[in-house]
Amino acid sequence: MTVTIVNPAAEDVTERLTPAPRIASLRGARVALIDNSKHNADRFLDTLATLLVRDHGVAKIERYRKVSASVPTPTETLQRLLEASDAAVHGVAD
Amino acid sequence: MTWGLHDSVEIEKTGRPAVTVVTEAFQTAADARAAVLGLPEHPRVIVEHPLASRTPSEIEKVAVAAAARIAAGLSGQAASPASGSVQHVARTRPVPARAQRRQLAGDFAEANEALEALAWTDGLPVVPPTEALVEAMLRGATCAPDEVLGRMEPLRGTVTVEKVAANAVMAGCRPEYFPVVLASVRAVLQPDFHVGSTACTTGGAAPIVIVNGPIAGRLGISGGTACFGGNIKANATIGRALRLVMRNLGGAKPDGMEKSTQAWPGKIACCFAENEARSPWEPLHVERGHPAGASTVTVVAVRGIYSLTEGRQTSGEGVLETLVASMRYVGSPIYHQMHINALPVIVALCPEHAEEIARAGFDRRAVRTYIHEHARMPVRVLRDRAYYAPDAWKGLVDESDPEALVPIVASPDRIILVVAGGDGRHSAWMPAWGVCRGATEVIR
Repeated sequence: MTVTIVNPAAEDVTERLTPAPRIASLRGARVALIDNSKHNADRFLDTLATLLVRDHGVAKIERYRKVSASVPTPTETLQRLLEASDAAVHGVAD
Repeated sequence: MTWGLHDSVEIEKTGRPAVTVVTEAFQTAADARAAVLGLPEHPRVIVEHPLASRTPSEIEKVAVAAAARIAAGLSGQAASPASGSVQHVARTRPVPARAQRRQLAGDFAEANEALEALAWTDGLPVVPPTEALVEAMLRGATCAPDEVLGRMEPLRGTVTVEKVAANAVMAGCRPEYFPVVLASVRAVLQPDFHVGSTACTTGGAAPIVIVNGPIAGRLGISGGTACFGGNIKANATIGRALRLVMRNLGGAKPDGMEKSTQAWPGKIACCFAENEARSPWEPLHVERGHPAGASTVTVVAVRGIYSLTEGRQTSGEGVLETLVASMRYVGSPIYHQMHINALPVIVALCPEHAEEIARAGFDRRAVRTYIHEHARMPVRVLRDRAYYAPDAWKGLVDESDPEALVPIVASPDRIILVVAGGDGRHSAWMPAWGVCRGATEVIR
């Protein structure tokens, strides 16, 4: 016996984007750090900021702390951050 | 995690490199999310889990170990395509208007095994969604099978009426239930529901569907004895259909995006009607401006059902005192998140409690006001507990005063008050999870 069923699941196929080009060097770069607001994410990013400046020559760090890990960064905030940045790190997702 | 990857991909779309730091427990979910956003090669730097319980020096060590990998993810090594070929706009290939058909061999049990192997079930047996049964389900509603209701986060499956019908068949729904299922799905797709987060949060939230209006009586959706679970076909299957839609089209499954630490059985099904016949007040939907003859669903993702018993106090006020005492609860993040995220709380009074409260002179507004004024905890108890963060109550409560009282919701209108249950002296409250504001839809 064979039955024909209707697929109940997603059939979407996402077309792949091309990643943004990496920057040649972090030396002199401006880096945005987005804090997802979970406990200890700020401490992790504090240390990371220090190391990016000290060991990798990053010129400027921009920080933003989300109101909740469960929401996207507001579009205007993201735009403002990126106007002042060449690259970004989002952390820490747990 | 869901929104961390979202932000990072948005950043990559502007042409700037980004890295997402993910703890190892969320690696699989991050992989799935990056792929569905169209950028599977977006660099993730995996660090140890958990971070929240580590000491400051341990956190520092984790950051030191990750820093070089993060720097490498932003600069140099990765290929840099010519700017002319960079595609920064997410596109999804159009899905077929009608769902794919598949052949399953065998009898009912074998078909169930096959559906289980495809990861399309919730672990319980389902009714195989045959073409004939799906067609019959579709006749339960007036909309076209290929109508698109939206995209179901977090994995963004396109929600067509036909797909919803297939899941409703699997859940065991009768065709006449289908309009309630569709309204529930539409509610979950509203931005205020935040399904992308509520479907997979560690907090284990599950949607509760509250049905109001004459359709509940017509379909046998119970608001009486044992209405929260068990023995009632309409309640069980409508709630389950919504969950299967979220699972199969949103992709929140335990081996992927679903990250509930524990969850609760509402993840299988939770649907009930307001017991309008035994309520001393107008029903929820009428209070919210719908005609009495209209039928609605109100769907809220909640952390669980917190029951309370009041079998001695009969003054109405005595019941309210016990209710709010049970709502002064340490460990529910609602106190920490209600203000910034405008969260609601559901209060479901049993008919006997509701009757006594009404006899004491309370109308619906007075009950909501009483709860708002009395379900409060001092800042000193809430500070540094659960999801406390500075400024969580900015503009609402003076956090510098340790005795200042924080309400469970920001205003009385954030209390969703219903009468539910049968005989007995047991009521319940259910706090919305995290970012879910709840959503109401008229059943068409």
